[in-house]
Amino acid sequence: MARALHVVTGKGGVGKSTVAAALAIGLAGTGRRVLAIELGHAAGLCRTLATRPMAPGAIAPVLTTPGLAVAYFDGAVALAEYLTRRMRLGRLGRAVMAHPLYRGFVAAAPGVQALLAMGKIRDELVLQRLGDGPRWDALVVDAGASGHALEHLRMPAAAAATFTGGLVHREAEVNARLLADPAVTAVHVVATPEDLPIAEATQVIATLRALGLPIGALFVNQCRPAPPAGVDAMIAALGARGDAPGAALAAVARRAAIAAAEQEAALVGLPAAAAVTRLPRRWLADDAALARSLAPAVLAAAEAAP
Amino acid sequence: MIGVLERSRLIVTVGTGGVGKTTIAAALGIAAARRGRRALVLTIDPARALAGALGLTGLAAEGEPVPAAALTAAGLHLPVPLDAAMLDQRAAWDAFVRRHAPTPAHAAALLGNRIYQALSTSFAGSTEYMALEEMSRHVDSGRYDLVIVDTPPAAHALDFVSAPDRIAPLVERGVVAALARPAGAAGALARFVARRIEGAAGGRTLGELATFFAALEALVDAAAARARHARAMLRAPGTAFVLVAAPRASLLAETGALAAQLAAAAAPLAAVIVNRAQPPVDAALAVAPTLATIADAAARTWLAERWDDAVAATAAERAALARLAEVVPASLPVVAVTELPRDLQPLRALGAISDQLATTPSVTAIHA
Repeated sequence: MARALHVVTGKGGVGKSTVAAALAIGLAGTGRRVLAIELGHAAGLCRTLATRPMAPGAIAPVLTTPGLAVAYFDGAVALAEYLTRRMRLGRLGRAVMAHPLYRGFVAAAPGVQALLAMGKIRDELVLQRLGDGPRWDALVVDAGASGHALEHLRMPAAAAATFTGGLVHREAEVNARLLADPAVTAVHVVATPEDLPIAEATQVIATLRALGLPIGALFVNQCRPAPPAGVDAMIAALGARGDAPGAALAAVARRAAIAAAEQEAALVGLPAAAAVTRLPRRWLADDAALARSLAPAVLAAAEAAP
Repeated sequence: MIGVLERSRLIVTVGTGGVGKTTIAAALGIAAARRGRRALVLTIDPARALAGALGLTGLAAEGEPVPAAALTAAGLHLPVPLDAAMLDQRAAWDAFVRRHAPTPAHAAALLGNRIYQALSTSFAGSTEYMALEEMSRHVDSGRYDLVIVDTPPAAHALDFVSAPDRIAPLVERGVVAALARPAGAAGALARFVARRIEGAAGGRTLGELATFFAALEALVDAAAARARHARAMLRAPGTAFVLVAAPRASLLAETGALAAQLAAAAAPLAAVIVNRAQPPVDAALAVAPTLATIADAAARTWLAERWDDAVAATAAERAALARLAEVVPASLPVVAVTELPRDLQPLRALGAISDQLATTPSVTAIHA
């Protein structure tokens, strides 16, 4: 299904940004115009895709991938333009934005930043035009670690319920509808094959389901190949040689076998209904090269997700 | 690292998500307790795994000792008890409101407010603010020689350090007062902004929002004072920041930038810990003849690939560590902790990491 809004999340350190970058590269490879967005500070996604230092809210083309651009939306600064337009502040915009009252409200009012960030994403998806059509065919949002991402994903619906009228209510309602529409949106979850990331992914999927948000693919990143049958006998034989190569190989084999066993034990904890895609563990020094190598598998899984 | 463990009153672990801050915080607690210091490990994550590893069924807001039986079973003989606690954000907010509201009626008004209930734990900096509150409360309690704080998994690792500064403009410029009573805001521009926010928030909600801000206003002085207190505590002598990083070249820029930002924020950085380094292998070792003796082709290929992975990992991590030693000040200890066998019992693993933290020489010292 050709969805337009892909959101990627998972526990810290599992490779969310790599998967998001791989998906963006994969989508751009099919000829679509794609904007990859990092929600929050410029970190993993910008490091992987951007070729020079980024400014908040600025959209930079990814030179190595035609059709792909990258941006990050960072709190109040990048959202100022969105707010000016939607609140029709006009020429007073700058003065209002610099006012301590406004800054205090945006900095501290409950959920406002998350709400505005989601509104800005909808702007990019629906309102930004190029000629007669939308400017982008697809957005890939690296929404950060699970807590951060869920905070943003639940905020439009929460705000629509909390603010019973007015502009915030109307905006929040439209954004909440967009996020909940499975024809438009998919939230992809990334984990590594270890207990904690799998437990967190399972919890995120349950929360997404409870919030009525469309669940996309579940990526298990950094998977190891299964050890061959008789690996224990092989380790014993290598150790029995009594020389340095034997001992070193036995140690490497033992570690790999233990990790592979841990991986399979952790994967047992996955929700049965989830569409699981395993991504291989690779040692590539360059994040961008890693993302490119994973792009075909990530794209196929994201598009096949129900 | 030993000096830091023996001198500090407060250790704060910072770092990006997934690098193992919680594990390092717990191992530092064990290392401190081994040196006879009464320590509390305060974690912010819903760190059930940490509770499990420490032999606790759960973690409470007040420190709870790690069961002696679990420690002994793991071969850890601590001369003093080690305590662990966890931040329950919602409960911490409620307790904060009860402690600092001027009257019980004020507290009840805020606790019963719909906006407070829906959103008190989700405004920007809320987790960090409550983590700071719990940190200073435990340090001030006098129960501990050392409090070790595992910072929240923030989008930005420095959010914790800057949280007191971010709450300050809100509480010190009458912003809450103006939002509670838009018509009474001083100046035409302030009234314009207030009316715009009023229009955006909508009719019925505004009343609740005003009640929320009015109730909050009564807490503002307390919140500001607590924020200033926490801010001073983070920069006091006896406070040490420990930066936890992964041994990956792609994260070096971030680690170097974090170290620089901590320095700029006058946060005393005491050490960098590179966590979960792979046990190194000797790339020069001639393993091919030994590999050739493995009869089964699938097994031979599998092991040859695992060996190549291990060689690549060793080279990548060594390069990352050498370059890390270049981007941080030469005087700063950089300690690499080697990943332990994954089938090791969790509390034994924490004990082994605490050994490594105490005894492994700094990478910077090796390169110097």
